Amino acid sequence: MTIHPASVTLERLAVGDLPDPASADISKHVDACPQCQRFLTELTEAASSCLRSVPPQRVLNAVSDARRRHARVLRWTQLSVVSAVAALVVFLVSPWPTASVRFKGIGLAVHRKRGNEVRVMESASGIRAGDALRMVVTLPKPTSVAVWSIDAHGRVDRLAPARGISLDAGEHALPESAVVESPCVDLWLVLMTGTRAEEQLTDATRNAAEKQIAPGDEWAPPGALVKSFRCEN
Amino acid sequence: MTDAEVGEAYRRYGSLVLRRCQRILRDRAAAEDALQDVFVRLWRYGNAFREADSKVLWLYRVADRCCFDRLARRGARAEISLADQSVPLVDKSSYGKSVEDREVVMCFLDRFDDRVKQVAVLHYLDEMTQEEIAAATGWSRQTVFKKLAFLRDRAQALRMRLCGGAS
Repeated sequence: MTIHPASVTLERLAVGDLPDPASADISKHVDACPQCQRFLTELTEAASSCLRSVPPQRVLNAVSDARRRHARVLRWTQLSVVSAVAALVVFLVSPWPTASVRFKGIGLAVHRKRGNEVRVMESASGIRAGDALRMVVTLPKPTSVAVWSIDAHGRVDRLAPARGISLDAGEHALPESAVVESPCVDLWLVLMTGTRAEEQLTDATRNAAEKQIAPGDEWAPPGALVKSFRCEN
Repeated sequence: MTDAEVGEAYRRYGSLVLRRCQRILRDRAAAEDALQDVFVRLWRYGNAFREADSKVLWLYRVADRCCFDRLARRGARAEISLADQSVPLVDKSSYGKSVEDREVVMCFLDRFDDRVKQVAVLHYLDEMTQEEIAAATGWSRQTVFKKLAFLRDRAQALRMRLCGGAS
């Protein structure tokens, strides 16, 4: 029984893909084997047929198409990578969000309760005897807070909180309400922050009294937040 | 890899690759498409090709992969019969039953998993021995032996079903 070289060996021989020693051995067998010679002849004919049916240019066109697709994918990949890196940089350099809201400055909102109606008052809004005023302060940073009222007669009263109170940054409704007395007069609410608030307001009111300045905005010390309310009676 | 290098490789090895694709896929048009896939991959992985000891074996491994992918996409191909003789075969009568096994196995190649497909192609198309298959795939001889035994059993069962036991 004749042992023929494996098909793959003959195929490699046909295109010169075998190393020299093996090539010489297989060639010797082929020279004496009509069956293997026929096989090699078939391969030669198949090569010509292949180049006719699938010309090299058709394969090169497929390669060109693949190259264009590859370039397009590469472009999108690069763009995606750049976008991802940019997003990461923005994420890393952005300030880490804090748990609370950051406020731009000190704010004072006054809520008026009249009967069953509660409304946020604008400055110079009207008040009546019996109105309950609730103060909501907004602080950009932790500090101590105090609120006073100055009425048209020059009376200065400390409102809630009765003593200064230290608060964190954020929005806080001060405890208790201030009730407008009867007879009602025009009123100014003065919000002060910091540990020297009491002292500053005392100096400011003394200065106003000495200079005989009428009660009002000018009584407030520098840095104070003032809301004025007109008596409707 | 440049177009010139791809073109040169195609002129030299293209017919062998086409023949192999046709024997695996048993469909001329599909084989021509697979042939183009192979040379596109050659363009992409040209460095590995340049470093390969055997260019033919490197291209054959790529061709096998391309064909297996196409077989997987094609799905069932029960319409293909054993009588399909579109692929010229060199008659090695001394191989006897092995040739029949090859025809059956290659007809129903898509029914096997990729490892069995690989063994089938190396054994029935390349006519590699168990040792050569083990060396080419990196699998143990025991693994190769089991897969070949499985293929022979399957081939026999398929022949029985197709030919009513006649061989």
